[in-house]
Amino acid sequence: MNVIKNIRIRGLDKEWIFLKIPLICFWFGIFRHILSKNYKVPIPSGICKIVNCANLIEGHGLFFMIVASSLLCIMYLLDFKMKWTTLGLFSLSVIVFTSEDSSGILNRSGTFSFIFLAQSFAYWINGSNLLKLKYSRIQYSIQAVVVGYFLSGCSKLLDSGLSWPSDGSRITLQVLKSFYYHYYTTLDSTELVKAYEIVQFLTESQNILVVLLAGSLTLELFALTAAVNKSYARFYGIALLLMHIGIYYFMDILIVSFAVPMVFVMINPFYLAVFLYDKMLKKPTFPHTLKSM
Amino acid sequence: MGNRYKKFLEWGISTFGVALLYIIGVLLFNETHPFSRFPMYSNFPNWSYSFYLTDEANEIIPFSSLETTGSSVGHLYGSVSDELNIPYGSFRESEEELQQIGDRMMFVLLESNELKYKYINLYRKGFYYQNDSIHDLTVLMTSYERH
Repeated sequence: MNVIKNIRIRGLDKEWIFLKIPLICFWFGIFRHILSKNYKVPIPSGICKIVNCANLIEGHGLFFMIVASSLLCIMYLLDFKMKWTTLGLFSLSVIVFTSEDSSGILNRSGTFSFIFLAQSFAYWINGSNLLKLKYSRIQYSIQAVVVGYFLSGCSKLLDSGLSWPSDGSRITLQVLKSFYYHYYTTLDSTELVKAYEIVQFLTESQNILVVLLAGSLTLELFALTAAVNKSYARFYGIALLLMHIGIYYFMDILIVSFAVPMVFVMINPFYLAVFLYDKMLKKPTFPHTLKSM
Repeated sequence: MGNRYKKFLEWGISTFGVALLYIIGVLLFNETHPFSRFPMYSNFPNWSYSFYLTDEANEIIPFSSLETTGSSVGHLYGSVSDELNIPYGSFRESEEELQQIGDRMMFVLLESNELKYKYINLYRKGFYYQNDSIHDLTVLMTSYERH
């Protein structure tokens, strides 16, 4: 029994390492990017209505944020004092992302912050049970991701009802808007050529459009089922990734705050690559496990 | 029976508890980071807006030169309209309201970016369907001159 438990723990450890390294690196990259934007928080929202976020993202506050976030990232990578480290990362994440929202750029990056709170819950609740902890810090992260998709599906039902997919013909207006956004950013006129090609394709392919929209609504509404089983979550993640690729192709929109944590948490591509490589070489995935026991 | 029910409840809490907490957070705090019901593209209205800047020769200034993006400026329009309590969409905004929103947008944009241009116009280009074909309507929101 202990042998099986140990193998499971080693497997979960490896999965956790490949989840947390890309996640924290990406989070830190976005965090630094927002801090470099010199935002002045002119339209305070959320926590920035209570705390003066402008003071925290410039001058001495900015220095503190960079030092604190760097330290917390190192502690996170070392699995050090994780109850507090994850809470600290959550707090910094809320302050900085809310500062961005409060500068008029509502990116809805809540998933990035909430993942750390979910992981913190795992450490606070299951800290005394090693196997439970190692399982739950991954499973709670999956929940933090899929709940966003579920709510997005619910919003569509609440705002448009079941007719959302069939109302989709006017998505062409959103497609145009999106491609014009890119054009006005870079003045690359190929964006406009592509925009009108896609608008024409969508106008001529209404049935395909309804099927695609109905498919993505179904995926979103049933996203919580991915929290039941980790292997199933991986397949669900691949389906969601295909949906994001479709949105990117047709609408020129990459919802980074959704797609990136989803890929790291649900698909965990680096872990998957190592796992498949081991399988290819017909090596047991965790050979050291049995030796060390 | 009681034991089975308790086990099922425990399974439910550990499998969906975190997600449930987030949903409760959304109900309590609405669109407040980190909570959101992610309403992006939850409906497809008969309008969409994009925005652009021009210089004194009416040449388009790429947003990249202001270290921002068209998408961010699009978000800014919604945030500023909400801040000023001006309902927006469907081309319902009056000229005065557009000027008010535009002035505030320019203030926010220039607050965090150094202005390299002496004169800037902010335009809104909107798209809508009429008789099954797409039309567009461009309006000047505001002009800004550096003194």
